[in-house]
Amino acid sequence: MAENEIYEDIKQCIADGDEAWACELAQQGLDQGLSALDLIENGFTPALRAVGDRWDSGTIYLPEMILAADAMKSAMRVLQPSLQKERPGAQEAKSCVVGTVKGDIHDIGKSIVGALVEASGLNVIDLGTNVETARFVSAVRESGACVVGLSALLTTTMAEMKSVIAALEKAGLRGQVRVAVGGAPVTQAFADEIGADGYAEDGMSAMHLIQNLAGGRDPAPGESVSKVA
Amino acid sequence: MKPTLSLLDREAIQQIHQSALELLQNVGVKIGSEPAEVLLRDAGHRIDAGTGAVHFSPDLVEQAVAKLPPRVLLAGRDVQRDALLGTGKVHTCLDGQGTFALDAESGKRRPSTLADLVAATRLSDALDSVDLCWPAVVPGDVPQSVRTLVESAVGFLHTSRHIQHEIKDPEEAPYLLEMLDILLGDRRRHAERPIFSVVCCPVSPLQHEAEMTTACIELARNDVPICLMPMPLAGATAPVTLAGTLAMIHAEFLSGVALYQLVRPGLPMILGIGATILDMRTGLYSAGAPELSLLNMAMTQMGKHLGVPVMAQGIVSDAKTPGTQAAFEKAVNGLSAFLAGSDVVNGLGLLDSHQLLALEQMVIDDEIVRLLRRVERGFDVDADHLMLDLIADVGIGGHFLGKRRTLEHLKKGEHFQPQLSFRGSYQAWQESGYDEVAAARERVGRLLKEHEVLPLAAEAEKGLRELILRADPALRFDLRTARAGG
Repeated sequence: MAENEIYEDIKQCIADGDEAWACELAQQGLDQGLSALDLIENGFTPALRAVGDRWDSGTIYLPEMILAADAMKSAMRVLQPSLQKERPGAQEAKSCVVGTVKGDIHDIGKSIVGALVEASGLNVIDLGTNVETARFVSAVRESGACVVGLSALLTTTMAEMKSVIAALEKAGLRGQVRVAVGGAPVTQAFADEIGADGYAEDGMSAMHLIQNLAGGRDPAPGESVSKVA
Repeated sequence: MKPTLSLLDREAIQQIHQSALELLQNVGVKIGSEPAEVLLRDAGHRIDAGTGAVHFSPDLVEQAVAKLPPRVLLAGRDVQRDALLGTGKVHTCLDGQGTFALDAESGKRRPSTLADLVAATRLSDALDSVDLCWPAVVPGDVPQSVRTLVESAVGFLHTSRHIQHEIKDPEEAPYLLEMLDILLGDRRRHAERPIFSVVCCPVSPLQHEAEMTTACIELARNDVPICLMPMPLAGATAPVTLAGTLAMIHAEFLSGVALYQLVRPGLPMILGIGATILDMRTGLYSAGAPELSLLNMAMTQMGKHLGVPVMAQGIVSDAKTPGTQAAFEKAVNGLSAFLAGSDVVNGLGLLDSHQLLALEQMVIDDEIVRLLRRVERGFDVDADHLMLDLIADVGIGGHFLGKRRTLEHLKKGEHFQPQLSFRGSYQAWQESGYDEVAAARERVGRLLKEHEVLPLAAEAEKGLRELILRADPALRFDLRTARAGG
């Protein structure tokens, strides 16, 4: 298959959210001698960015975005070993920890944000729901995450966000990690009051916020992906 | 003659019911509350040691359903304002637990306060179309640990109607029960006159909140009726198809029935319908979606099939401000719930997907409900109403305006009389500069100034104050005026 043909197919498989095809194409690209970095930068990244643009402009449904991101993630797993060989010691993509705070088992808002952030090229560590404060701290410490996203749907549980920020401070991690908060009852004023670094009202603005908070210009392979949308 | 809407045929009803039983048995529901799990295990349901999911026995679920009372009394503090559900009458309820209010002066959104809650409750008390009170907003200026108690007490102080509320923490239960002692003289009277009921929302897919459930069990033991309100979002926390979402709502409701009928056999329960879709362009909950109407209609039928009253969310909207979108979404979703015969239709007072209180919207919603009630009431067809004698009397080419019977039937309400709609001529409209939202706002001001709520007995009011102070000695709020320093 010609080089431009495989990039066309990659564009299509990401638009279709076809995981199996995405993995197949990643392997095929490597087999015919293309570098993993080429495949990412000329194939998968622009393909996902195109899907992100279409979601941002309101022309596709959310599941199309999520399926595209999942297909991208699977292809990355195929490419990762070659990528490490091509660029030994290269940093992995930056990490973002997300979770719904203690006492709250509402999952969907946090999961939508997690999927979109992942689609933007960050590595997402999803701790799930009803997450103990200490687990946020240990996850940030272990992953070296640069952003943590806290979610709460209930007025009774949003106060937990403050505890997580305090615990991160106590653990000496607050300098390394920026905190984003969200959920129906949360406001910018509340975010300011508890000392969070940012607040977003819906999935798309949360994704942009976390991208901005992740900031930095490390030449990580996944980094250029973070310009999606 | 009353108009009625139905959607599901008998086969579909059976299919949804059987699907729910199958889900309950095979996939199960996670509850997490220890007292709940003990009750369910002892009764013979299986709990998976690995996943913690309760796998329900279909026979035991059916036995629990058979214990549901078909009629549920939601008593008012004022006996005249009792609501008896399950009789075919459609009742209404405020929307509950928003976290924002439209500021009357600036017209801008801000976090809701105790003053907003007091105003909303008093205003609702003044409106004839409201039957039940759900504390409309969360007062962000009251400490979280005593909010449920304070919101309930504000309810009892500022309206004489039934109060429905949520409970999030088992530690709040003893205070609420003590509140019932104060209001009724003895909490045991609550079985006869339940002036307080609790709303509990399972978390889709197929989970209950552990703490909330433990708290509800404690209230159920003391004859507090429970409205169990699954809130799955089609496409996100439930299948994208409405049929799949119905099976999920039904399963989640039945899991609660199986539990609470063990706690208190014959406990009055209400099937709450909080389901809608996730908007797939924004990733947000949608209250204005027409699919909400379809889910309401179908679940109202499922409730009738089970023999349990239902509460549908009807007068609801995603609009951010009173106006066109709010009016058409609330009217469409309200009408379908009314005509489906939901026992309670809720939603009055809030906008922005149940998040934002607007007092003027509550007045507009009152008008919407008055319209819906007129449609739902239908009309009579008999000799008196066919009026053949009168038609003969007027004959060909005359008119009916001068007939006494015309006036009699108008006074009995044959024709709806709007309070907010402008029906005058174009010229009159132009000259008056009439604006219905401004008119609603004016009415809010007048009602809040003039309306008097049936007062609580002085002793009960004192009791409530003392109870709240005991729960939080640092609290400095006057519950009557919502001003600091009380």
